[in-house]
Amino acid sequence: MAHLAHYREAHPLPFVLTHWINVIAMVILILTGFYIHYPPFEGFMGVARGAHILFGAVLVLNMLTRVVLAFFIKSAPTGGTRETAPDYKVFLPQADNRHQFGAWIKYYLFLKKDHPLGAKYGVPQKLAYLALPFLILIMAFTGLCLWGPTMNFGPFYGFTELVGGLMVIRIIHYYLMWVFILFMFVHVYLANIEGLSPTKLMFLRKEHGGLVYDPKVHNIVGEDDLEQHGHH
Amino acid sequence: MAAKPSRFSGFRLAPSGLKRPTAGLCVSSAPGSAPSTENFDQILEQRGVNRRDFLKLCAGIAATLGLSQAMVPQIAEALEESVIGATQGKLVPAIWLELASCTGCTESLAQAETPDIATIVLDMISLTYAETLSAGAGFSLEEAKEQTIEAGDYLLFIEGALMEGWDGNALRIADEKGTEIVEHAASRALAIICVGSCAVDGGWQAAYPNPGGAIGIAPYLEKAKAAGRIETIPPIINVPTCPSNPEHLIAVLVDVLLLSRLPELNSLSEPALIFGQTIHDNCPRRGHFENGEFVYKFGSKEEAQSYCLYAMGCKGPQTKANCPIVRWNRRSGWCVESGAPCAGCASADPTKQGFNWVDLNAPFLGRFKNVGLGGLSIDPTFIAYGVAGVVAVALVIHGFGMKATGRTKGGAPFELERAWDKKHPDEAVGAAAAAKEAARVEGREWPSGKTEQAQGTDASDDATASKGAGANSSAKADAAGKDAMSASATAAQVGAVEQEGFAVVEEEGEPEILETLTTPTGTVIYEEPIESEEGGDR
Repeated sequence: MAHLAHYREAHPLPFVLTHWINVIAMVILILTGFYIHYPPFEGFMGVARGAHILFGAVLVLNMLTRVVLAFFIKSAPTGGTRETAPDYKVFLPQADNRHQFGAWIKYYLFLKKDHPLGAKYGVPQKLAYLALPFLILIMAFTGLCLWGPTMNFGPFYGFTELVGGLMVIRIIHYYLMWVFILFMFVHVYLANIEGLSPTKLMFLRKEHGGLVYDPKVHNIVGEDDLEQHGHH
Repeated sequence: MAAKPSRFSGFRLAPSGLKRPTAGLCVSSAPGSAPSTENFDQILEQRGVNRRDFLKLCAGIAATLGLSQAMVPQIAEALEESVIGATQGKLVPAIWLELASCTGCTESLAQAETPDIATIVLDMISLTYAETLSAGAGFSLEEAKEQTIEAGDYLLFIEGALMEGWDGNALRIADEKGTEIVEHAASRALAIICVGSCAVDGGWQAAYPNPGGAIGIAPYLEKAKAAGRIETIPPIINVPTCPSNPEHLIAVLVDVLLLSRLPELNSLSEPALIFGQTIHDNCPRRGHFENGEFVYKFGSKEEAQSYCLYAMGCKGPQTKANCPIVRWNRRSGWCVESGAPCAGCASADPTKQGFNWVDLNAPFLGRFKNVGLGGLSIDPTFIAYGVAGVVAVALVIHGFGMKATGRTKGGAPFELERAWDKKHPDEAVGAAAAAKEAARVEGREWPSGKTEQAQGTDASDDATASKGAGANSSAKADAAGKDAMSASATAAQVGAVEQEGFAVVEEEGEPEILETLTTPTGTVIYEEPIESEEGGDR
């Protein structure tokens, strides 16, 4: 058993909910976005646009909620521990991540045989998650540049003129959607390629035994087989 | 959309210019203004227009200008006073320059085969020079232009793009470079009205690859001013679309000449009210769009039903102009109404090179513009699907690699210590740091024999380093690897290691060892009774 134990403390219930909302909102936004870009069948434009605008707002509000909650909720700083720390510290680079970027890249490229030690999130993963709130904001901004009721509002109008018109905004918005799609490709792949346990924990709150990591010594200190030595 | 009142500062009609219409809401045909009205009505009659049609025109102008209907009498009075022969009103001279153009804008404006109420408004100006419309030609006409420029305070209409190519020789008129003609004519103009998209941003002529160096009037004059060839730039009013709509021009003329003001302009110096809303927002086919009823093919049943042209590449949603309201050809129809998707001709942007309206909207039947990649012109969706495909294939290949290396069942075994920490034991966060903390608590020297330990890169050297550094008091295991692990466990028992930048938030104190097990690899296993947020629900 080479992975860390998966405890619920890694993903407190509010973050499981925001993750669910993210998944639903992003999938709906991407599907309706494709339809709005080019409607491949008839009869869906009104619903698609309404849903796109609604879930755009949902995604932004959910992101803001997630960021604010990070300052009020504690979560486990790494897998394999039930200890908790303020979530924003866990989200930002932490001591467990230090100097590990190269190791992660090498591991992914098969240049390193053993698994890098890390925190709850590896370094590339953490950088991607930190970029997401900003990506969502840019998406929302360019979306409002394109939406009739807001396109003539000062900042949106000014940005549209700055980049050269609504056609350019549309292409930016479209390519940023693909950034989200590619993120989801990689995110889903990495979350599941070493086993489905992380997904079961995140979506279903199902715990899984594994190695125990001590955030104080920043290293693995033991093993916890939940089924064999069920505690609590 | 910021109006640019600064452009208007210094903008004054000539001292002998048109009298500002008197204020008041009384209709102009009321007693008191009888003589001029009679005269004016005669002119209307001569042109086959009745007074009712005239007032409808005034109402249309008021609507186009965004004025209240209460302004209709004022507009009517202003028109009456200004039309030649109606009163003593003096005409504002105008020069119409035709540069690199197809003459479509002139055609559009001069299509009055039958007497047209719009031509009455055009009678407000004295067109002293227009290549296509002037009766005169040759030297005498050029002379008339020169005299008008010399007298100053004229309106300068410019149709078509300016050509900078071949040192300005790409466009020569009457043995003179187009660039010089424009600089000279702009020097004393009251205002410049750029008629049609070519004069605004270079239009078709400026489309890629633009060998003749076509450019819009406003950006050219900015360059000429920066180069010191002209001193000031008169107020510029951009009136894009291809060709220009006579209704737009009339609205601008009424603003400039009769109300003695510049229309409210947006950041592209276009009349904000004309180019403020998207075509999509006012489109008569908008209902079909919302219902999801689209034309996918010309000649189809859907086209016959006048469904939305969105899927045919209509640029209405991103093009701002009031075409659906004003319409064209004396309000008989416009592009979408006659079955053609909007080509986006009003989206001319004079402020940026490379964002010419043709380049920005071609292919006209596609949803996106093509993007240039090293001389290639590619649909953005093709690039997106290509990149996504490459990423997907890479992930699949990577997945096979993970399978082959046995990482798909929980990943590879963890490293014993971070690679960086091995090389920098005094700054490390892992086991070495724990050992360092243990040494500090126990009052021992750290690092001991640092120089030789720091050189060590292989596992046994590092393990030795850990042992020598701080684990000697507790580690009893024989193998060096186990030793390093025990060192961490020891440190955990010694106490919380305070790390810079990260602090575990929980009650102070030593974790209690509940049970100690040994795995087949000899790793010491222990559990900590740490308070869990949801500990009670399992």
